[in-house]
Amino acid sequence: MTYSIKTMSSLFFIFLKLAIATFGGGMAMVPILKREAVETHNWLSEEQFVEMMVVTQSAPGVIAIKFAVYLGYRAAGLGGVFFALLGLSIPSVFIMTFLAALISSGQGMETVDKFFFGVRPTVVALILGVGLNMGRNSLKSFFDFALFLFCLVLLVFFSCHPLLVILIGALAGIAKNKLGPQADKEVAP
Amino acid sequence: MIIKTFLLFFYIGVFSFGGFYASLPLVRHEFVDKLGFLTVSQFTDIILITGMAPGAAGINAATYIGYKLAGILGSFAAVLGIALPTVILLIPLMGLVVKYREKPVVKAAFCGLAPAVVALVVGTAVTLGKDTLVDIKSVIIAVIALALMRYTKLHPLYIIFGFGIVGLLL
Repeated sequence: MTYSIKTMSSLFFIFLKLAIATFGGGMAMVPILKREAVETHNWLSEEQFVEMMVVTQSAPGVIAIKFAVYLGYRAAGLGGVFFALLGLSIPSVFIMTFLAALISSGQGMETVDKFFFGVRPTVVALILGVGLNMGRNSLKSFFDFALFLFCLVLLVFFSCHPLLVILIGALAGIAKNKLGPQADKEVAP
Repeated sequence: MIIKTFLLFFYIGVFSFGGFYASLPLVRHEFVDKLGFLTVSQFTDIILITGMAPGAAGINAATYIGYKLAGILGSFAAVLGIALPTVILLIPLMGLVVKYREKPVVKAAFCGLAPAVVALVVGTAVTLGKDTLVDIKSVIIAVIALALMRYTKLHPLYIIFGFGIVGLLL
């Protein structure tokens, strides 16, 4: 199988954007990732995006690297992985050096604080926006809503590990299919 | 030194379940306590800087520590080291998903996984929001950002930097 140079350069630039514009950890990358992978480039369907989230949350490692490996490989094989990782890491040398200089100069902190004052609520809103958007696609029955709320409570109030939530989701899906003759149409073979 | 950097980050990559911040104690143990490559205050600085830098904390810390230890090549060795375990592990896992995706039991599992993933994303927003949306201004910014995302085709990147600039002006 051969992959186009165009796909690899798209991957490079997408992860370059992620490296420059995501503040607040791996999950903060999800809004841009979903926009690019599902809407702009059609590399993944909505269902496959859920698959990506499940696999990346289940494996050990840095979340951003898992996204780069997953999407890079899906879109353009090992070459795609390489270019995605390259895009993800190139800005960091410059940004880290720049920030180190800014901090040691002593006057940078105030500017950084002000910038973050605007950025932090935006990141929360964008992550929430993607969550609601995914919810519209996948929460269709009472079972879906109940499971969603249960997992949400576990995560927010009990600081439950994401992997445990993934396991609960999978088991609940299987149990529902086994127990209920009224199982969803999509589940029936 | 370059090979050593690679191996150290490979080791950290293998054991970083739950993201970079979860592996901080390991980084500290290896680089500060055991090897003495970094002083405690350098280590604290690195955490401070990765906390405000955009992108992946793991990659930022790896490139920075790699650079301090062995220059640009050290950066590359560190990134390669931290990423390689993920490459080795994730690609076969992806193969498994593709292979078994049509099996009834896997399809059934994904029926429950979809709501769980939505909860993960919304849960992240709620957890971050509890610490972030603390006054009227931040709530207004969040509401406008959400509306921009929902009702316009604006790329999230512009929304993020746009409000960063708003923050500078406020």
